[in-house]
Amino acid sequence: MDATQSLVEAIEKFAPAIKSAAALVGAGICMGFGAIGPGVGEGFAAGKACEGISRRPEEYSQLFRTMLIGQAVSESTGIYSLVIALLLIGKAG
Amino acid sequence: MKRLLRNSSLALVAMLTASSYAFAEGALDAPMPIEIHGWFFSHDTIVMCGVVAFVITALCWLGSRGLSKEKPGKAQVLLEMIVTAFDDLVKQSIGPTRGRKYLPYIGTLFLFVWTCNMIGMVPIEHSYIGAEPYHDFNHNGSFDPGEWDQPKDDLNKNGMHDPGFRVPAFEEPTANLNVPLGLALLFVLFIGHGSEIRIHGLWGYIKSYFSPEGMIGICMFPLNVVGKIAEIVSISFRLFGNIFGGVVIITVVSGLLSYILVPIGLFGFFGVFVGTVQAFVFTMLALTYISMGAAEE
Repeated sequence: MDATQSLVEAIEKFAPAIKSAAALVGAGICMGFGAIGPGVGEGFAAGKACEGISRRPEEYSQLFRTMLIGQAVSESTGIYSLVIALLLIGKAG
Repeated sequence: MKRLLRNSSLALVAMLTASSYAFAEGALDAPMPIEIHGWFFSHDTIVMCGVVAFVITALCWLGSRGLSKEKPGKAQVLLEMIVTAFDDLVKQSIGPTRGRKYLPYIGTLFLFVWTCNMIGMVPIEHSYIGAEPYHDFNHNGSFDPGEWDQPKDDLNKNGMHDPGFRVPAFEEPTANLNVPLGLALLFVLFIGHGSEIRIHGLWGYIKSYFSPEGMIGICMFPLNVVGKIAEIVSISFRLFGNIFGGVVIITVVSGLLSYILVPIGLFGFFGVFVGTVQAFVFTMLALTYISMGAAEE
């Protein structure tokens, strides 16, 4: 009984520190995992664009523009995780 | 061409500014919020939207003076290049006759967002002109360190401290979520859905939510509604996240490296490159969402 009570007291004492630590760790994990998808996707798009340009160099500008738009769209999940990470850092206080 | 330039530069920038004013309230980290009836308006964002609109209007007005077919000046050639590029873009995605109507909107959107992204490079910080000495705000001549942490704006409420004329920081208005959200609402919701209602009729617009014909369409209704909402959310958060992330990275990395020479490269990448690409992407996606409802058959 005594041990449980002291444990509860300790948790209450360190609750703000635990909360901010969890928020910061969460922000790091969020950014780390959220950056995988856009990295793979954008690399794939760039590789395919390279193939296309090497096959038809005269279509360079069209391919480059399409590649940029596709990359910016596939980047959006990474941007969401960035926003969430920034919100979590704000929570850490 | 002359009328097109003038119309797009004057009327639409004014309209855009008004919309940005309406939606530019509150902020994640508003430096100098103005409270009106419990609503917080970000001083910086509103003033910067006005500055951007003024800059675009002034440049277009200056550039479109004395247009001539025989001897076009440098400014006229530049403006004609911009207008022609967007003319081609709009005609490709919407159609040769109907696309012309959307040209001023799309061109102005790109110019506004691009200038918004570029204006963060103007090196003007928050400052107060003609303010009282900050440590003497109690008028008792004593320095009270306990009050240091309070924001400067609170000091004015009891009339004890005169902050003077506030110079807003030149930072990107698009780094405040409310501006991209307002632009997305204006362009995707009002112009996109509005032109769809106007072209296909209200019944055709409602029917587009049950897009595959028959029984499957009724089951797809919630998915279509979520898809329409996700358009607005994704387009606005993409611009906001890119610009805001760029601002944060520039600030943090410049601070780590003691502001020696590195910020130029950072501004070159995150300011110029990412800003241009994201402005173009925002414009292209808005055009795509508009053309889904408004494209000619």
